[in-house]
Amino acid sequence: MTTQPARPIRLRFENLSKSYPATVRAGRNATGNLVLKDIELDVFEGEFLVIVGPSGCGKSTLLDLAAGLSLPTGGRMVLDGRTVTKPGPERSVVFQNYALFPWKTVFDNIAFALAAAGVPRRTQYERVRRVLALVGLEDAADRYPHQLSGGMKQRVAIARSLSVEPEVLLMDEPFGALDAQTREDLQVELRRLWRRNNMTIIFITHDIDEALSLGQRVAVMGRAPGRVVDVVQLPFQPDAAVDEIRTHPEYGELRRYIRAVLSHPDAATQAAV
Amino acid sequence: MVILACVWEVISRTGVINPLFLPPFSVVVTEVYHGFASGYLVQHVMASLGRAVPGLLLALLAGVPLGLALGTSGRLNTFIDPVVEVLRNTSALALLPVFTLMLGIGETSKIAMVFYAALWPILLGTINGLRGVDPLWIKAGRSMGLSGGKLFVKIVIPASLPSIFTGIRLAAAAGLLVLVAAEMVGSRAGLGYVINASQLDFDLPGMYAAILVLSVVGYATNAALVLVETHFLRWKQT
Repeated sequence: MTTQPARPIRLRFENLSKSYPATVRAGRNATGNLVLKDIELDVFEGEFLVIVGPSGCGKSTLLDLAAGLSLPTGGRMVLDGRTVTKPGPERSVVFQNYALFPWKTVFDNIAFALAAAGVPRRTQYERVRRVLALVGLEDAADRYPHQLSGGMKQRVAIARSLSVEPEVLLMDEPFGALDAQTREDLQVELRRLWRRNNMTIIFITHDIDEALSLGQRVAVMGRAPGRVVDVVQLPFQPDAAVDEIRTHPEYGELRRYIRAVLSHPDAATQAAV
Repeated sequence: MVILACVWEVISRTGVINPLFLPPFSVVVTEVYHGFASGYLVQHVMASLGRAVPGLLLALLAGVPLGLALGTSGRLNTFIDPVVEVLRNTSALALLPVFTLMLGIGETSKIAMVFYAALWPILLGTINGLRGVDPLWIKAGRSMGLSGGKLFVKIVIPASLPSIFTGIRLAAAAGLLVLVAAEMVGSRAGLGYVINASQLDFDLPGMYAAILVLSVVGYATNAALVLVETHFLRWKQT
């Protein structure tokens, strides 16, 4: 099912494993808790890759490793040929629970990320304005997070991540806490932003429909230990609208297949790439 | 507040409570006015504030940094935690004789009492504030490339501020409480002294006047702190 386009690789999960040390309670025979095992996955430049997996399969851990927020216990995480050892301004993370700082206004939340990335103060104003316009929140600049709806908060979080003009956007179930309507709106918006900004996106979800509507490829994970079971290449055009994708003749079959692989990893027609 | 004053006035005037023991509100207010006009009460209010303010400031200067250190270091915390628990449950009033013994009957022992009483709420408020910092904010800060000291100053401290402010307000109340008691026992100035001395002279309007002023001082202190707090914590959901 996978045809690899001849594109440069941006991120490479290279034989990656992650385990946490055994807890005291686990006793001395415990070998530690293996969360991710031998992850092999290439993410191409400008690609929209969705990782779908059941809860507890370590998909958030995978994203932390890509972000440089934690380090693998085996293998390595490679970005543009270099081993990732810490977070960097070329990668930006969007979290499920927005992670906005409640003591800062919308404007200051974004300016904070810019300052942390070393953007000089005098250009910050213009850039904050620009990304707020991008997500349609020009008027909310002076509000505090608690004055915003969930959808607006996540828009601000996305704007904050885009403000540093990352090459790679890492999204950890960003729409998981939103209602269905808002979630679909934001899916459409995210597709638009992705086409426009030419970013590489890794998007994590447990929702198959979301995976199919957003991604170009879908990596399906299994758990205990967390591993990539299959990578599915989607046949949809990058500029297809979400509605077009959902009515595509292959949509139902793909959905059934991914669902089957999620519940029975052995159902995968081929080993992971 | 107005109703309370009216009830006070009425029960005293009608003799429900002997006006000798509870003079009418209006009489007490007049007494307050005379006290301020003659400068007598002003002098004692200043004496009390002269002890409360330095005591509170010292508690703030010691409590916040100490709380930050204890709250950040896990090992230090497990070691110090039992000590803090024992000390903060030791009533400052019980230690009054100890302070007097060590520091004499002068200003130093009074300021030390306020300091001691105010230290614990500030210390615990700071530690609780640190414990309440959402790990997600730290993670977000780290993903933006912040680490160490910058993470602490720009994320941990602002996130802890609400709890620190609560501690400061509790500290102010605790400090005043202890101060009055200390002034009643061994002092020749301050509102606590006036309350006690007036009662011994059977100058009950004078005693109530001092109590009234004390309430107002406590209330005003709290209101001022709330004002500062709302300025710094504009972002809080109310």
